[in-house]
Amino acid sequence: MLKEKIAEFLERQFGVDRSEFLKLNLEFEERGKRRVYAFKKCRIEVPEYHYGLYFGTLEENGIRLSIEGSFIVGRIARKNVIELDDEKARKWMSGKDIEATVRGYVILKWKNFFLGCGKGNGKFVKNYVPKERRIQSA
Amino acid sequence: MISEDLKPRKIKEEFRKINPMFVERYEKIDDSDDFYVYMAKPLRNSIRVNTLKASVEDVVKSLSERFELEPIPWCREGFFINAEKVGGTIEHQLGLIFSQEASAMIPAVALDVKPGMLVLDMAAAPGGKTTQIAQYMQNEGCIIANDVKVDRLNILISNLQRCGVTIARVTMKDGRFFKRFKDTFDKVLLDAPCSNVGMIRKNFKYLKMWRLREVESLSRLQKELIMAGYRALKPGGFLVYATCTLDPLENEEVIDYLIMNTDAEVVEIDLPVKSQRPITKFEDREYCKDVLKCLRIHPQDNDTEGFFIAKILKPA
Repeated sequence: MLKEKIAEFLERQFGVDRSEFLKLNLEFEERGKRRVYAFKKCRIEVPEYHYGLYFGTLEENGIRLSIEGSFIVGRIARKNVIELDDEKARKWMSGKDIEATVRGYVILKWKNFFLGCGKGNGKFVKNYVPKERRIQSA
Repeated sequence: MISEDLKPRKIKEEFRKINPMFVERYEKIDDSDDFYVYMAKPLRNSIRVNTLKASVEDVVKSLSERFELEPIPWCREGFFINAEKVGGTIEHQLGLIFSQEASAMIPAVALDVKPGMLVLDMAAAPGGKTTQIAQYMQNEGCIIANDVKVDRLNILISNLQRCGVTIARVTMKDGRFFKRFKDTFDKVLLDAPCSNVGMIRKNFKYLKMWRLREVESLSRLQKELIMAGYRALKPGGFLVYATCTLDPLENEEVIDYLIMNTDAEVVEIDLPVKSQRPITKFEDREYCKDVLKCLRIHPQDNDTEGFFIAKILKPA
């Protein structure tokens, strides 16, 4: 089941406690290109054009969170959250990779805000901020 | 663009050159000097903090390092900001703030939603009010966010995403479709399609485009939409009707029509906002006294867009 799979990934990647994850009361659905959408149940049925928040993309060994996914998970994550200073936050949000020695999935944090999810290879964290969410280069 | 430094009568003449029919009409609605002075003055930029993602305090602290903020008296999360464009800031791109005109924050405040409610937003795009409602509901409950045009829906969806809204169901229907959901929604927002006179301060194209025939046609549509929204409202629930225009045909007349044809009651909106006396007589028309409880905001009242807001109770 998708929710179980996501819970497992989040526990492994970010140390998210399973019960805290379930308390979020979110439902998940996988759509095209392995993209996962999160939503809450609605008590009436309407002819929907769209529902759900793009939460992240399923990859071979984990889930790469969207910016919104990182806001949801970041608050309950217990590991692999990297804090950035102003300069690095601007660099990240302008679409550039960040130098760091971490490996695997990480959530980027600036002040009390979450900047999305990246993947470290031991030298840098690869940037996945979508073009429409980037700021102009510093 | 008309220079804001011109004398009021000169501004009025410039308006007349662009659209004489508009000036002729608005001489009957507000012919004051202040009205024309403020209609020519560019709007102040304003933002709303998205509390679904961060606290007001944290975001204000972050923005204050680069900008000056001034609280908007009628919206706890709203601030005037001295930024040319907030769209380029990290805070905007992260969805911590939403660029929203100050008077446009009133309808969602007046709607007074609670977590867990079922809410209908009949004309939701581009999503400023929908995302505001979602934050007041703390992402608990359900919002049916409807709009009729597909290009506007895509902007709505992208704003729902950026603001982290998980409780919206987006529909693409003519708002009148919802009349079939009799007595269903706890709250209904009808931010109705209108002649956009309030937005002339943002863009003079709305002055050029204004036509009385369009106002009359919009008035008919607004009456049908409010009847549909009211039918979909639960007994004991509230509907907020709003437009960003000042013509009585699109405002007081629509509320009068609802009152005359249903058991609807107008409720006062108690917010620290300056406003004009609503119109009860216009040309050969007379409206019921209940419309005096509506909020008619002209640009000079609070240095904002012109706006009209009515709060309606469906008796239990």
